[in-house]
Amino acid sequence: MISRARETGYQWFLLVLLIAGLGAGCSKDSYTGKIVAVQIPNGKGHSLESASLIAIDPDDPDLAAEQLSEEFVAAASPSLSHDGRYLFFQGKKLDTEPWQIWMLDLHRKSYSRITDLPEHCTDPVPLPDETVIFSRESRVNGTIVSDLWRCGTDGCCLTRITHQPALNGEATILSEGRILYLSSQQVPEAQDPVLMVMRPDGTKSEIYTPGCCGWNPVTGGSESADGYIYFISSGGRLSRVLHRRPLHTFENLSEEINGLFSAVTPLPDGGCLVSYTPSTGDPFALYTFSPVRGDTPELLYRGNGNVTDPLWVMALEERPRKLPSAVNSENPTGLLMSQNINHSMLPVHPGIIGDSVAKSIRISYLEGKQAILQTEEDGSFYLKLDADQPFRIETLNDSGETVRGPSDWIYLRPNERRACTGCHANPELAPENTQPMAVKKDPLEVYAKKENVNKDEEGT
Amino acid sequence: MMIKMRPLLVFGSVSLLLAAGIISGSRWARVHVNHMTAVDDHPVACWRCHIYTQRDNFIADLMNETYVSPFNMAISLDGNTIYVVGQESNELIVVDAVTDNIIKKIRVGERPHSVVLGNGGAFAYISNQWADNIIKIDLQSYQIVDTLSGGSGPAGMVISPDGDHLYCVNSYSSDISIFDLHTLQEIRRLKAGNNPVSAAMAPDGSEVYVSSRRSVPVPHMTSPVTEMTVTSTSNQRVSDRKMWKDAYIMENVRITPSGDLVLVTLIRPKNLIPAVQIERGWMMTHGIGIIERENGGRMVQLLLDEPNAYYPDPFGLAISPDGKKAYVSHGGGDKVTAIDLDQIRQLLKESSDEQIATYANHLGLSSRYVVGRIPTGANPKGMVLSPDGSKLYVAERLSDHIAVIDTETLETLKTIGLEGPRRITVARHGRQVLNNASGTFQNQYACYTCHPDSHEDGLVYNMAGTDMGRNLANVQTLRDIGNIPPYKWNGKNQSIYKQDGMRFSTILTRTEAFTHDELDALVAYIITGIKNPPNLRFNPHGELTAAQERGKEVFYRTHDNYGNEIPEENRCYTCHPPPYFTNLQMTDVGTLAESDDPMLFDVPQLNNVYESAPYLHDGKAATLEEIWTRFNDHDEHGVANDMLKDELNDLVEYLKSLRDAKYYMEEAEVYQASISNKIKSNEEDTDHPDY
Repeated sequence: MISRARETGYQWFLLVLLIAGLGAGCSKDSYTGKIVAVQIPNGKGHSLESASLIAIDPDDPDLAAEQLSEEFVAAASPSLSHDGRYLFFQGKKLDTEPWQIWMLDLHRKSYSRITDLPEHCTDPVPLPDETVIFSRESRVNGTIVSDLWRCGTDGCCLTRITHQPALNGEATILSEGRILYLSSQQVPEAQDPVLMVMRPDGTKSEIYTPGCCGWNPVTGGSESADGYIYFISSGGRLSRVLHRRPLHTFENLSEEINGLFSAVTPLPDGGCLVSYTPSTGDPFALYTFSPVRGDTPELLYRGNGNVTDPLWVMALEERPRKLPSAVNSENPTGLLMSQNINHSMLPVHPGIIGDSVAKSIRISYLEGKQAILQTEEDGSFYLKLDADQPFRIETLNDSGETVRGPSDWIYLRPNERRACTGCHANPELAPENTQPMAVKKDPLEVYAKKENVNKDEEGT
Repeated sequence: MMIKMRPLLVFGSVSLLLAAGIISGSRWARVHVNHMTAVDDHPVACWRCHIYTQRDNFIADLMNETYVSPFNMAISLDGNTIYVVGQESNELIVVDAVTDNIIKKIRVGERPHSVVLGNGGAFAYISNQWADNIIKIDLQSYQIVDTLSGGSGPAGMVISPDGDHLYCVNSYSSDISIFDLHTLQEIRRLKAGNNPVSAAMAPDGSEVYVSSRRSVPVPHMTSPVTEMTVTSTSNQRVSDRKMWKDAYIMENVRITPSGDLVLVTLIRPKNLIPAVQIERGWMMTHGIGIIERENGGRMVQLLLDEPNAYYPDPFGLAISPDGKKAYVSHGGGDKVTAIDLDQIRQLLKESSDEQIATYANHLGLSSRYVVGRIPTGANPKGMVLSPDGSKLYVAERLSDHIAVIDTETLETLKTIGLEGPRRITVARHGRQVLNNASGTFQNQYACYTCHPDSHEDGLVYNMAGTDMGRNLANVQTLRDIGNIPPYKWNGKNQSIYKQDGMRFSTILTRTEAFTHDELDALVAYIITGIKNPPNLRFNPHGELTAAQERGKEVFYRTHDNYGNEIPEENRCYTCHPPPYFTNLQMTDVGTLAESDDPMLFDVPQLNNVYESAPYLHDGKAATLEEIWTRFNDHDEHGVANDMLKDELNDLVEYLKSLRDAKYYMEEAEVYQASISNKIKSNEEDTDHPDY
């Protein structure tokens, strides 16, 4: 009797083992090497409201694409975690609801909702520390803008990380750990988009590349293994810059190619996967392209409508760096220093009558508040400002005329310390090794909430 | 029944006790590890700290190896033989460049630095930096045939074209010895820059250029200026001292075959500006210096870095026989950069002086003259070219290999093993971590950059830990610091783990913190692997000079010159007792500056203090003497204002004689005994006042 019970026990144990093994096998990845893309049905143009996510087998492109977003009325902007397991995208299950951020476990084929916010949330990019950055719509002075936010993949710890009044989106993460994103200033007037780079906590945001020759970036950038950043610039041009020197290495790869590009993703072999159409009016399809040969792209997959935003599903050999954050929300201010405001690439303001040497700066906030501060003899300044408040800077001469500026919108994150060599100085110039006079004193405090403070009158 | 239950009860009790012990023990261990590492997720594995950091015992012998660590090299005239200095193994290794075989390993002096070939390649001269001599080796018999003695810390060398004279740079005594190679006697000593290391002879033999690593003394909080000494060989006198502004660590100097350009590797530190970021070359940039000998000696600095990519710690320099290409090894980046010198010539020709003045900080310019970056093994150092220029040999110091690079394709053909240990020990890994810049954002600098030779670079940094412009910090040495916590001038870091841990990554390296394995290895290396060089300059044999003896008396004095008893807390030896000459306590010696937050300072060690200028926490004392002549008005840093100048001089001489802690163990015991006796005597003497 005892031995029969034991035998039964063993049998159950083996059965459980078998089921567990099968279960583990079922959760194995079956998407590595596949392509995920966005398909917009015929007749819908480029509107994402009917878009869906599809998976294509590049080894058998004639095979029908697998639908990955059947539960959604619309899904777009896919991005992949560094381990190739999780697909992040914007989706909506109802036509009436705003876009939200979702995550698809490609192994288990299960969805998790990450955001549940009243505004449109789009363009997710996962970070290696299990957080995700995405774009969230808002308004500034009635104008639609979008800011980058960051939260955990469980939706917790939601933090806004960009604060300039711009359309910010299409973020990607570089291998060094910084975030590349597309930004187009909207206030006070709309400007062409540029690619910006910043740390994942929103600090040290600066221009990465404005494009070249009148062609500005219109998509985010994707980093290749050999150190290029690929993107599409205006006019449907396939473009790239060298990450080592992005401001001066712009290449238009489609100069000799007819047709238009709408998306690009670099491949491990040095080639690219592109969304391309050889002629306007024809739908975009997926092609492969070799930057080395520069030939006309080769067709890989044509879908039912426009196919764009391709991704090659794979785990990265090395995950992006996790950059530490100096942001401390308990400190509501940031510090800003400039070595010499007269060190600048910008032209002197036309119509200036007085001296072109600036001796002070004017800080202007979104709400219209301003402050004027004298700089030191060496042209330096050192300020303590409200964090997360965008401002612009103009340099002024003795007569109060604007010498240069206003600058683009700048903001500091809580506890951020930031320094510049000048005011819109050549970004490729490292600083002079001198201690600015301004830092030998305490910083001048400039707060957005004080009305029209003139620090000169306060004896600074 | 109770009797039957007894074994069970005993077993149960013992088990419970054991479990309780293990649980509380492991809890204690977790608390202990958290405290020592300042993180809460470091593995609780006792051996990672307590075994890896063993020194001078059989465990250390088991854990560690002696590596070759190839440093500088020379190549025979026919290119068939390479002579490699094994810096750690104290050897000269003779390598057949055709077969890749090691022909011979010759034991040389301690810490050899450079090798040059003389007498048509019949002899080799090796400078032994820690033995203060140069040995001459017969390359037929591989025997040491002579020893030359000159200055302290012999390093780079050149031989005059006629073979009559050897110029040797003395890195510790900061001078140049000129030897008559017929008599092998030093015939002249010339003052050079601070910590000179390399020499190059003009092709016509008319001049010798000597590069230095450290800045000459400059006013506090001004940018470093490093001297390149030019010596005329005709009269063997210094003919010029070229001052390189904003630059230092000029490791190697070379001259093109035509003599038109002098090239030198250099680093441009940004120590004066608040260290609030790394982006855009904010902490360190790296490049070369150029002297246009045919253009009035115009001096130019050009960067090898790029806006988003840095190539730190340039060291080796080789110039092709046709003078068109130069190669620079980057010890911190594991790369060799290939440079088109014709492009540089063109750039200089078309540039005005005003334009050239901006080039030294221009990160975008290198794309004009850099033609390739070749990855290498760990920590590439010295390089030599084959006579036809087709092959570049690179000493991979922390891989124990020589890389052979095809200069046409700029690809590595092969590596030649130097028969070093195959095993990479924990400490060796730590040394690789210390020397490699991958632990900083965009590889901009390595630990080694501010701690060359694991020492310090003589600069004061504006670390901007909180506010900008405050709390300036004088870089401290890493030599033999394992037994002297806490760390940082403000003593906030109780262990080296914490010093190099999470906060370090947030405010200094600004990238992902070291992994636990990397940090353990780094700590193991710092604690076990970094030794003080011998103080051959001021105390070669342990016998103090008369002035040093008098200075020692001043150091240990208990009464001033007026007979007043010096309060115990203000006596030199109280804060600076042997063997490390630090009592490991925090103190205030009246040196707080206006730019400092209120704080006490960790008492620094004084071993080998002679080579750690400037002094005090913010480097404001340029010399030891200035500690008391300029910054001790109220006798807060020891009673010194009663001293005659001679007495102060003697004290300084004594301090300069201080060397490695191992020489003061006995003295420490005597000192401890005297303290114990004193305490005991105080306890027994009820009338003795309490301090």
